[in-house]
Amino acid sequence: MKLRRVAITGIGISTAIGDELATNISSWREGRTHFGEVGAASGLGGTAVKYAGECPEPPASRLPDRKVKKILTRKDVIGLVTALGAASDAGIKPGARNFDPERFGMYVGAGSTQIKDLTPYFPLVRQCVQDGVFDSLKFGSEMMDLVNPMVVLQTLMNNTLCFAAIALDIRGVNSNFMDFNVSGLRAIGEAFRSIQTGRADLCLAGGVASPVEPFHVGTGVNSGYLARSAELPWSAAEILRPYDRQRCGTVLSEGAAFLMLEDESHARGRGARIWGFIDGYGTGSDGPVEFMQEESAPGLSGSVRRACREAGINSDGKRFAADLIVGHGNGVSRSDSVELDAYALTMASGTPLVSIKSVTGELGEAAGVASCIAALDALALESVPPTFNFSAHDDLLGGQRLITSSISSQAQAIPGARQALVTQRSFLGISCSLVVSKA
Amino acid sequence: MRRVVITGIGAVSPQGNDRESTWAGVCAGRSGAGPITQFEASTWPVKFACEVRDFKLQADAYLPQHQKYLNRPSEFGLAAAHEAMMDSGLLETQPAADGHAETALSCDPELFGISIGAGIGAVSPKELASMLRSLAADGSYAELGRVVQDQTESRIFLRNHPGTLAYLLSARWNAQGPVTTVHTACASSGQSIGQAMLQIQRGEADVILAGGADSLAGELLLAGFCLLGALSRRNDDPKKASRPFDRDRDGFVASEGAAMLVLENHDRAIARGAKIYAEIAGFGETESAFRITDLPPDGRGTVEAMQQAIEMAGLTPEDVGYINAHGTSTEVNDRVECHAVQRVFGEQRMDLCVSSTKSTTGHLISAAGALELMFCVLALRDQKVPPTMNLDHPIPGCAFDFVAHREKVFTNEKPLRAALSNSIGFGGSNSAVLVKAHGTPSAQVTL
Repeated sequence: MKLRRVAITGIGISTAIGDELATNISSWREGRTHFGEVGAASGLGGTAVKYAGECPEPPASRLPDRKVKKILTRKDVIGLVTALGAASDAGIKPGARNFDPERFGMYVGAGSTQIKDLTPYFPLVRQCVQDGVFDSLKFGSEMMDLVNPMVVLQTLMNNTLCFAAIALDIRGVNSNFMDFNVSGLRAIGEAFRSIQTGRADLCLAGGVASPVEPFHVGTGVNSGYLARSAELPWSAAEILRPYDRQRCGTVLSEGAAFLMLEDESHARGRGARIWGFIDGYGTGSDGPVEFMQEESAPGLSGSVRRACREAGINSDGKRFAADLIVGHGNGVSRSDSVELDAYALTMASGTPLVSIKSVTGELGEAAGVASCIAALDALALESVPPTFNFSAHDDLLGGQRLITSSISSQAQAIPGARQALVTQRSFLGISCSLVVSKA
Repeated sequence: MRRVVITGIGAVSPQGNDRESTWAGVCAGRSGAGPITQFEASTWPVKFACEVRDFKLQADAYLPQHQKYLNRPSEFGLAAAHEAMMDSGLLETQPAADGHAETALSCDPELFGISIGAGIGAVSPKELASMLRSLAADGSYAELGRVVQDQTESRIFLRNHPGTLAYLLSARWNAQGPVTTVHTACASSGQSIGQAMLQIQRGEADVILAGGADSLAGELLLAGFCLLGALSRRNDDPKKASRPFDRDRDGFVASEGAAMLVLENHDRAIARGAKIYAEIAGFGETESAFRITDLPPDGRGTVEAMQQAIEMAGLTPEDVGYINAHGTSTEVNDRVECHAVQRVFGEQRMDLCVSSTKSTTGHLISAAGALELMFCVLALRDQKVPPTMNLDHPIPGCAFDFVAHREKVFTNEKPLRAALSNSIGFGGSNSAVLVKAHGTPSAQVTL
């Protein structure tokens, strides 16, 4: 089968920084974080987390129908607005007829149900608990009167997919991935595959997450995944320190990022602007690795090799010579260490490596997609953005780690750069890697 | 493009806690519905469900350190996966250094993947209550995050996340290839299996353990669907409640369980002399969001998914002898699905068997597609198809064989060679997966 070349023809992003692409990119390059203080209003009073990234309220005017705001959770409103933004950027709008709906697909990486989405049940559940015992009889007799009947529809985890499909008349291939932080990058990868192999002409793909809520934060602090920012002497901008020896956990952020992927000839046929191309995709898993206890990342190594091999990146037989890596780097101690190990095994020595998470925060299911956007920008400008808050490597675990990547808190020039590797790991050991190239 | 076959199957369902008892139950038309036993439900608007009963998870189905991450649907998934893996013959016994035998997977871990259709995974009221009772009596949830944070074994998030089962399986079986979780409501496991098939076809994996697990029989999810009015309220006769395609249908019956299939590169399976159940030869997936819970009246989306699956398999509609329909027993779904089947297969196909096993299993939501594909595979193996129970007054105008009340056995003169499983999800995702008897050439399949 002759594989088709896949172009990126639209970009949409919403983060705490805002929903303008240029504003997001300039913030990543200039180190302007938009983390704010969180507390009781988010159900986070008394936690060890002081800072997180929260999106500005999406304006109802950006929705295809204002009424959907009554049905959708905040996460899905952000996802829907961002997905429609990517489509609009690509020149695909509701009612437009510059595509075949049955050849138009959508893949989403979606964040999970949040405890705050279950608040319609809270008052009744509280009433039904006596001495630690749940009274299901009382619950059953009163729920029809006291609980919002829409609660199950509001918490469906494929709502971003559903409502974007309705708005844009998407009828083709689709899926909704729930693979934690890698979901968005997986969505891009699977959309790439569908177009490459002729199952679709264009696909909207990306991720959305709204993790600044009690479930995610409580678990993140408890497990050591999140920085205990309330107890640290640093400002909000200094907390998330990818690959740095003083790294102490990540900072959660809300957001969404979507790309429009398109068969190159289809895009050129309708005169679409091309932001770049996708050249390779790979996934992998660490297998029997315990949560937050990993000592290596074979899944990441495997995914990097697969993506680079497919993209035709030069190799000496063992290590690939990409022009840069936009890495996972979320400031979690073990995660950053095993990630660097994986690059030492798979990537040429001196390959520039950057993480934009010191500025964006950990965007969860949207993170890998935001990294793709950063990679496209870096290739266009031939300049790697800084990894803010990085000063020096550590010697964790006996100093046996071989750091071969080039990380800097300053921008690095990459003249003639053509291809970038983008990686993302989940905290349960699943990895995705993607190679993008400049237009 | 590589061919893909099924070499192992496992299941947990209201009919039984393994593949064969489940299959025997649906073929006999034995309903899994009964009064809810997991909690006291006598005051609920819906007092019955299809529950898994007498279930106990074997210790070697998961890694011992993962006990803290288990919940009811993931336990079903782990058990079904264990049965499927044992059935596949992929495990080899090897002598260990200490003289004891140990088993190892005869497959490159980097080419072994997991693909799961998983449910919403809502917390239980007991979990919720344990958090809420720690909060201020004024009803404020301002410090809910602190309560989760301070719990000594704070694994509630991972225990209830849809993606955790895939992780548990990848850890248990050392899968280092593509590991994926899909949630597209009722289409989840149809999609997870179809996408796994594509990954093997493309050479991204040699073997993928694919399927689904779900439980709708817990309090909060069941309450959600009660509130929505989607469930049958035939409390006086639960076994008659799920009646797909029948005039008197009034909603679906909540259910739970899991089904897992081992998908394998055909040539690899042949080379190792594996038992081959069937070839998984076609997959269609479409999106037809119309309203969040409603299908387009013309069956768009469902039609194209079936057509894609048939075309990918290199077959024609005439080659397909059995459709395991989505058939939920809801007013709109059944009517629209019948219309869609007519559009693809023609209006007069009395030789086409169309049954809904949800009449006995109830609706397993994210696991439904996997379980129903298993029924298609076993129908090919045993040359018989399970019945649609409770179908006393079929939807008028549909000239199919709905296999009402009694299983149908095929004959040597007119064998069953290909079967199709339909899944239609809330949110508009549709999947159709086609299996055919192994060794059936695409161009020569006839009935």
